[in-house]
Amino acid sequence: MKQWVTPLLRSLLLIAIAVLLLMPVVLNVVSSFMTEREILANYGMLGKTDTSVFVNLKWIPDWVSFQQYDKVLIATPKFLYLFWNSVWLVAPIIIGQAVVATLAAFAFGKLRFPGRNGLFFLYLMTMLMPFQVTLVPNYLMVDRLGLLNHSGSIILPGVFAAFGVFLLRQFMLHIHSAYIEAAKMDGAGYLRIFVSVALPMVKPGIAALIVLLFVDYWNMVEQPLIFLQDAAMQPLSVFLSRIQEETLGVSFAVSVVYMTPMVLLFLSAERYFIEGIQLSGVKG
Amino acid sequence: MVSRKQRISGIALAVFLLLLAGLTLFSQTIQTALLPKVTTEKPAKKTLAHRIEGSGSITPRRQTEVKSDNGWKVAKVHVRNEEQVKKDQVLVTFDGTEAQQQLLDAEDDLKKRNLNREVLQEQFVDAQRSGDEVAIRKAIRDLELEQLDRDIAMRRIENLRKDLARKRTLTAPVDGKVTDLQAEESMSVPQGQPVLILVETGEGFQFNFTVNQDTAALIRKGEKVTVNVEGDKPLQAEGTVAEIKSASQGSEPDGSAQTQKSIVVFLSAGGLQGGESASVSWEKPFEEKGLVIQKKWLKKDGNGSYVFIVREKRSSLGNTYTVQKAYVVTGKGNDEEIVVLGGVFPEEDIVTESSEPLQQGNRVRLN
Repeated sequence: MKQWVTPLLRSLLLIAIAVLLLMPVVLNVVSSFMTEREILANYGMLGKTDTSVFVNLKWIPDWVSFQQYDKVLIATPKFLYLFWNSVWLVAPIIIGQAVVATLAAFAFGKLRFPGRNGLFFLYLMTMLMPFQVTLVPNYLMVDRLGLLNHSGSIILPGVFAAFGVFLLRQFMLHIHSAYIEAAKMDGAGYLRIFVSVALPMVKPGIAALIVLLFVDYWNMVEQPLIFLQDAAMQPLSVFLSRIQEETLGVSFAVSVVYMTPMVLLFLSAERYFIEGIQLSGVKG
Repeated sequence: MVSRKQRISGIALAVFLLLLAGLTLFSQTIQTALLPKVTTEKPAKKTLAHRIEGSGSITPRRQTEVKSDNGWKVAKVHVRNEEQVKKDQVLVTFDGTEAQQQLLDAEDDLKKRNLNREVLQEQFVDAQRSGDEVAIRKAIRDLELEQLDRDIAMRRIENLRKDLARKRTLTAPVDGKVTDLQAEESMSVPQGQPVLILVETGEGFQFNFTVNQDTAALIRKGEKVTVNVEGDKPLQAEGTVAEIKSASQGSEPDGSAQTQKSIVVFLSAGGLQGGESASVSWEKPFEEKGLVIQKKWLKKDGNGSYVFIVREKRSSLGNTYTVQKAYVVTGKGNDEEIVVLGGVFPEEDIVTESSEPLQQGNRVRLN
């Protein structure tokens, strides 16, 4: 009897937690099939200071409608432009950071040079500081570089962020030194060792990095909000953060559209994602 | 090792991104295809002329009714319809038998009175002879009364004789053409009723038509117009606007009453018979100069009349066209077109037709 009670209880607990966590997502998807009128009737008080009325959480639409999707995907190209703004900002960051981080991680992890640990610690420090702390110096620097209101102001700091280096260094540390020694014995240079030995072995790490970076930067709000004043250049995430003021009626459909690539990417790279978190012990 | 779930998710992600890319690329096209389709036209730069049109049937300017003044039976009709007659020509001869009878009766009555007079004269002689004053006075009074009666009777005979002579025939009072002949032999025409109508062709013809007040205001008295006459032989005649007078109230299609004016045009061409239908059509240029647009393009709201004009916004994402209200100051217009004094410019595209009702700021697709 005891044999099946514990798993049952565990399952029930997990189901309860899963339901709790999935609730907002499901609510979002369900609400995206409501008409604008219904959304406004049930959520119209969002963002208002009137405390006498409450949001009415509805699980079943009165009338299943694709009106929101029609508006988001067909009638108003603005949302699509913002979506591609997001892609245009996130894709260079991921590619750039993957390249920079792999090289830096190889150096920090497998090469011996004086001041290595000190330098790494310094590099890591930038990661440990919250964005808000570095905001002012960042802003001043971006301004001096003439990158304000330019996508470079988001992409460049992203490319050289420390997280990728830290994550991939953990992977690099797991590569046994014997592999590198053997390659050296065979007369391979550092570049050769990096390309032929280290890179294939940290592939899962790079995949995990890509997924983690995507999740992180796809959801960024503060940086673009501060560095990109031109609303037409801002990513969809910024728009979503203040959607209730302007276009509450389509907010759920926009959210679903915005969420979809993230969910799909996670599903296709779930293994690497979990691996990356396990190895680095970071991120959320 | 890539699991099935991961592969499907990867494909789904690619498909999703491609779908969004496709929607983005074709967003303008899709959106444009869903927009109301409009056709536009530029306002015309021309002087608008008002077309005045009217038709009516030609009537003689003057015609005389020849009436029966006796109510006698008709003995003979000397004329036919459409016959040209001269003044004093005999038109109808009446049967005077009844009047003749009355005359004979009156003459006999006079004879009776003559006999009665002899009786009275004898009474007078008898009274003289008897010397009775009272009887003499009575006899004289009787004689005087008799004399008066006789005078009346004689005058009556005289009248009857004259009447008989005069009323036996009906003559034409003027030169003209016989129309509407009512008299028939052996029928009587009631006294005071027209026996026939004499049309005085020498006086010319006229016709009238009605137009609304605005149009009438453009017509001047004495204006020469070309009149198309459609009769047996269609011809064109010159006419003169003779009179502009108020006619009965008409109503516009929108229900508002409008004063109608009747225009009388005199015609002086030969070969007219009367009764033909005539029509006029001529153009009067407006004094107001401005751009000319079609009346049906105009719309109305609380602020006045407006037209929708198309504004173009060029951008790298494709040119967009929106409609805007342009309130216009309108001048005079004819049935189809109207002069615009202000509000639109010559190069502006005015919406003439749209597939859906438009509103200010609507994006549209140009046809």
